[in-house]
Amino acid sequence: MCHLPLVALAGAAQSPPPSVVKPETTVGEGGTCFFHPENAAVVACGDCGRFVCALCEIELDGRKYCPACFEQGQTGETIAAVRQRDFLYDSLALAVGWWWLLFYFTWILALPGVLYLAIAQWNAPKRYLVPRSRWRYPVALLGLVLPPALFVLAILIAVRVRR
Amino acid sequence: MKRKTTFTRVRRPLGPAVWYLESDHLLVSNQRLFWAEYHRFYFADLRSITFWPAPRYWIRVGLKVLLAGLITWLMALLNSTIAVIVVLAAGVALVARELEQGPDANTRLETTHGIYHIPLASRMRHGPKLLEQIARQRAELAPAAQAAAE
Repeated sequence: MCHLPLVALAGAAQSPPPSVVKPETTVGEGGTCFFHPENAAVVACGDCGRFVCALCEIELDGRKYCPACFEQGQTGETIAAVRQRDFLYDSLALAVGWWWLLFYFTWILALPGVLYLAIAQWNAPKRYLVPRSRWRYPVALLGLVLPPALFVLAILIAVRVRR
Repeated sequence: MKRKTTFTRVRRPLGPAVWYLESDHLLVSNQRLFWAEYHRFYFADLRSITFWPAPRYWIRVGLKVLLAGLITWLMALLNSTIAVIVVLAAGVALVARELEQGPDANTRLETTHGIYHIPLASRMRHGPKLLEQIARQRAELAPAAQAAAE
């Protein structure tokens, strides 16, 4: 098996990183940074409203954060731009909604589970870093309702035919 | 939150790797069962993207040939000429399509802070087009970053 790389996009960073320190434009007369009282404040944090200097200012997706809010947002994963992962509730509901067929006796547990996920986490797919539609919830419920319904229908037809 | 446009998607048994081409970086949603892990590859940090053929492709082709042959043989044992012809034709079509698509691609992304193996292209033949689009996006970003630095 040939393992020679066939295609490669090579080249170091083409451009220097944008400068970190922004021009000083103070937010108020004599306003100083919450974290560095000796520095003039240039912006207010978009979350807590604290005045911060150019050194402390963190800009993400057009919003300004102070270091404390940034750290809080990073650990709590509330800032979308730094979010590392999402739990896919809708995928879980879809799996439970159809996988019960492998172990049919788990239907009794799967039904409330999927119902709970569909109600409690209905808006979750829209909150993911990459939002997606909610089609998995109805399809999961269909998986819980359709096969038993078809099974019952088949039995009813069989009974009627025998008569 | 605004909806993102998919740049490329690579299907895998436990979940796809979905890529989004943003203005200054590549975002990947690396899905594994019920988790989506996100990685951002900023163009400024990106050193290289390399594709090479994956051996699993030949294993898959071999399995398809084997399966088609096995079913054809079973049909021949049943003396069903029509079934033999149908299965053989389906098998040949499947294998021909696989060969036409070309080998699967393994991907290696090297950045200034590490090396990642997250599939970017499903097939080798998709590689050049994807790289071209990334290079174009990087080229568009370069003057803007230069201006910001100044």
